[in-house]
Formats: sequence, structure tokens, C-alpha cells
Amino acid sequence: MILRLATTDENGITVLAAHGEVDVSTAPQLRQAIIEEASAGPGPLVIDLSDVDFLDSTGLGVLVSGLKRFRTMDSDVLLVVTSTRILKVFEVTGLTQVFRIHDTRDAAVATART
Amino acid sequence: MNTPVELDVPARAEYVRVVRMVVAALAAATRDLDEDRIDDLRLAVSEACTLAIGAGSRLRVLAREDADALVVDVHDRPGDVEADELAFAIISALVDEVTAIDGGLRLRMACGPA
Repeated sequence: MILRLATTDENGITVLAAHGEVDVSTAPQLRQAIIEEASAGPGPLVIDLSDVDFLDSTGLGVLVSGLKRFRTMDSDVLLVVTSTRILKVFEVTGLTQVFRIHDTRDAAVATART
Repeated sequence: MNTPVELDVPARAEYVRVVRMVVAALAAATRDLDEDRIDDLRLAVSEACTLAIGAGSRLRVLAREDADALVVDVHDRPGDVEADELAFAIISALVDEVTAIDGGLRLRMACGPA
């Protein structure tokens, strides 16, 4: 499996963890998972990208549309990014200004609970 | 890679990963490029391939060596590449030079001796 997605509940906050590669062939899986979380409740949603070793513009597009979806519900999507490689993709596209990015899952969950 | 390497695969999403893996492996095996630069090249090639799969039925990639650079040509190219702002921002930020060539995009990555 090139991309595996797992959802857990952490102190009442839903965490969607992605493992593997997000590209043009796997981004639809991520999009579907985010849509399902959005219809399950208003969130906020934490998306944990710690174990993602490849992310491209298609993946970014899915994350941005997910963010819009949650913000429309007056909610938010928070990201966990630990590797400099993945963080760089957000930096060169200016998306570090758009997302709230944390470097640990605990920190993201704590922010989501406030 | 003293001789150019050419890949010709179906222009479908699942082949983008194959192409970026091959190009990254070639770069690692043949040139004095550090890991970060190989990651940059892998992502830039992947973005160019993702643009290309919208354009034609085959995805054709030619990787070759210059005295001071790796050069990767990706065909085909959709009419208006810059319309995909995220993809183009990523490619431009990661490689040393990106140019439109006849029916494709040329990515150039400066690197040390072969």
C-alpha cells in the first residue's frame, strides 16, 4: 500500500494519520478521508503527516480544499509535520502562512482543543 | 548514466511514482548530489510528470548528463503549465532551471562531476 490512512480519537479530537506517499495517484484517498471526517462532525481535524515521506502539489491541493471545507463550518484543520523535506513543500508554496503546522501530534491536539 | 536514459510509460497517475523513483535512483548512482538535492529533483520531476499526464497518452522522460548538470526532459506539456500555480511554484523553487521545450518541460539540476 503506497498510502495508508488511519483515524484515531485523541482526547475528543479526531486525528487522521497518513503513512506513505501522497501524490496524484493517492491524493483521492486522502480527499475522501477528509470529506468523511467533515461529514462526521465539525471537527477540528488534526492531520498527522509525520510518517509521510512524499507530498506533492496534488496532496497540497487536497489539504487546502479540506481546510476550506472545515473553515466553512467555522472549524479548522491542523497539521503535524516533522520532516524538513515535507515542511519545505509548504514553505516554497507559501502554505506555512495558511495552515497551522505543529511539530508534534500532542501540540496539534492541544491547539485543537482550545 | 553516460548514455541518456529514456522512459516511456502510459500517461497514468500510478506511473508517476515509478518515474520519479527511477530518476532519483539514477541521480544518486551517477552524480555527486546530496540527499536534499535528490529529494528536490524527485519532487520536481514528479510535478512535471503530473502535469504531463493530463496532456497526452504517453509519459516520456529523458534523463541525461551534462558536464555540470543533470537534465531531465518531461513530455508532454499541457498548453498552459503556469496555470497550475502550486505545481509550477514547486518546480521553480526546487530545480536550478526550468524551461519550456517543444512539447515538454526541461528541468536542470546543477551538480558535481560524474
